[in-house]
Amino acid sequence: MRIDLNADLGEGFGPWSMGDDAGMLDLVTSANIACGGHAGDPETMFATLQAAARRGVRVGAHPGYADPAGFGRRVIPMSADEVGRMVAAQVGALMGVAALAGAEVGYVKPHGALANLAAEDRAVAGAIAAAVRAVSPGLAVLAISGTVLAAVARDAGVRVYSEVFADRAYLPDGRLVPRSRPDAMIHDAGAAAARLMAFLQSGVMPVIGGAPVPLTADSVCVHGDSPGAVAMARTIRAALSAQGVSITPFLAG
Amino acid sequence: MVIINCDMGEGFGLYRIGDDEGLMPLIDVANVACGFHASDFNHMRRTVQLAKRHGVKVGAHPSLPDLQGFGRREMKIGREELTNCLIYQIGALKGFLEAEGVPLNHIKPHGSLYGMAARLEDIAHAVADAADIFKVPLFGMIGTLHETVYPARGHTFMAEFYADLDYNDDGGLIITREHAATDPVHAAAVCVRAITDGKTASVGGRDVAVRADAICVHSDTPNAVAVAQAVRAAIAPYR
Repeated sequence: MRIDLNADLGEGFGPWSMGDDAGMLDLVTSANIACGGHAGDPETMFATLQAAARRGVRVGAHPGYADPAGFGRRVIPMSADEVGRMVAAQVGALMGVAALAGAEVGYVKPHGALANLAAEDRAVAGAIAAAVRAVSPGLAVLAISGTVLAAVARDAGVRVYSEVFADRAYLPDGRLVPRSRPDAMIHDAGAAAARLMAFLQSGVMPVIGGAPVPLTADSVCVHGDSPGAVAMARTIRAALSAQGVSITPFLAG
Repeated sequence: MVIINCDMGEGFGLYRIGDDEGLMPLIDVANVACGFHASDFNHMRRTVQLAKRHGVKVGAHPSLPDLQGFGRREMKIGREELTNCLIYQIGALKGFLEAEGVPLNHIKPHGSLYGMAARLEDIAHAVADAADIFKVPLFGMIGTLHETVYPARGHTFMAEFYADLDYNDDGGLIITREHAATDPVHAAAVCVRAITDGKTASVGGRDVAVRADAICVHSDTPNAVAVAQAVRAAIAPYR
C-alpha cells in the first residue's frame, strides 16, 4: 500500500513566518506552496520552492483569495471567471519563481475558503479546472476527496488526485466538519494516525454521527500551521510506515 | 526621568511578531504600529487595549508604506506625500485611542523612515508637518536632524538610546533587518552608562555622545523579554 503526505507550506509573508516549514518538509512528500494571494511573496515562494526541491519533495501551487489579512479563510465575492483569472495569475506566478528555484510545479490545490467553495460550486470548480488546464496541460489538481471540484476537473480532462485530512473530522455525507464547530479537529496524533490507518485498510472513513463513508485518497493532508503540526505529521508518518505503507508522492518523479 | 519604550503590535492578520503580552508589563511607553509596516485594525485595537490594561502610554509608530519589507527599506517619497502618509496612520491609531479613552502620547517614525528623518531635511520636516496636526512630542536621536529640526519646528524632542543596537563611530545607529539576541547584562550596562555619562562605545571602540530621555528595547529580538527585564532593573534609580 502507498500514500502521499501533503502540507500547506510557504505561508509566511514579508517579515512574518507561519509554521515550521523545514520540519514539515522532512516529513511530507508533496508541498502545497502559497502563491502570494492569501500568503507568500516572491522571497517566501523562492525559499520554499528551493527547500522542497533540495529534499526531493514534489511541489504544487496553493492559490487562495488575495486576502492576506484574512489568510484566505473568507470568501471574497467574485464571478467564476474572476476566480479563474485569479487562479491562473497565482499559479503562473509560482511557476515563474519555480523556474528560478529549480523546482517544477506539478499540481494545483486551492486554499481555504476557495477550496471550500470549489468543493460545492460547479461554476467555480469549472473555472479553476479550466484555468489549470490553460496554464499548463501537464498540471494536475489535488482536490478534497468526493467534492464537486474533483468531479468537475476530471470531466474537464484534468488529472485529479484526491486527498483526505489526517486531523479533520468528517460528516456522514463525506464532507468535512466545518472549522467553526468545536469537534472539527482531531488534536490527538495517535487517534488521527489510528483513524487514518483504519481508513487506508478499509476505504471507508469514520464520521461523526453516522456510518463510515467510502472515500478515495491518493494523499493525506497534514496541516502545517498548528503548534503541534510537526509532531502530528511525524506520528502519522511513523504509524503508516510501521504498518508497511509506503510514503510516496502521488505524482511520479 | 528616563522611560522605557518598545515597538508593539507588529503582527498582521494571523501572523505574530514579538511577545507583546510579556513585554507590556515591563515598559512605560508603547510605539504602536499603524498598519503600514505591520498591524491591521484588529491588532491596533488589541494593542491599545493591552497597553491600557498595563497603564502604558501609547505613541504612534508610523512607517513608509511597505508591509512586505516591514518598513525597513528606504523609498523615495516627497514631503507632502509623506506628511499625508503619516497623518493617515496616526489618525487611524488616534481613532482606536479615542475608542479606548487613551490620549496619544507621542510619535516615533519606524525603521527606514526614522533613519531617513535623521539625515534628510524634507523627511524630517514632513514628520514635523504631521506632528503639527497632533501636537505631541517626537522621539528621535541626538546628533541628527531629529534633534535640530523637530525643536526648531516647535515640537518637544525626546532623545532615545537603543539598548539592543550597535552604534557606529559617528554616533549613528546601525539598523539591522533582523535583530539578533542581545546579552541582557551588557544591554543593561550600556543603558546605565548612556544615562549617567551620556556616552556609549561604538563598534569601532570609540566613545560617542548619546542621550537617553527614553530607552528603546526592541520586541523582535529573540530574548526581548529578558533584555527588557535586565534594563528595567538596572535603570530603576533613574526612572
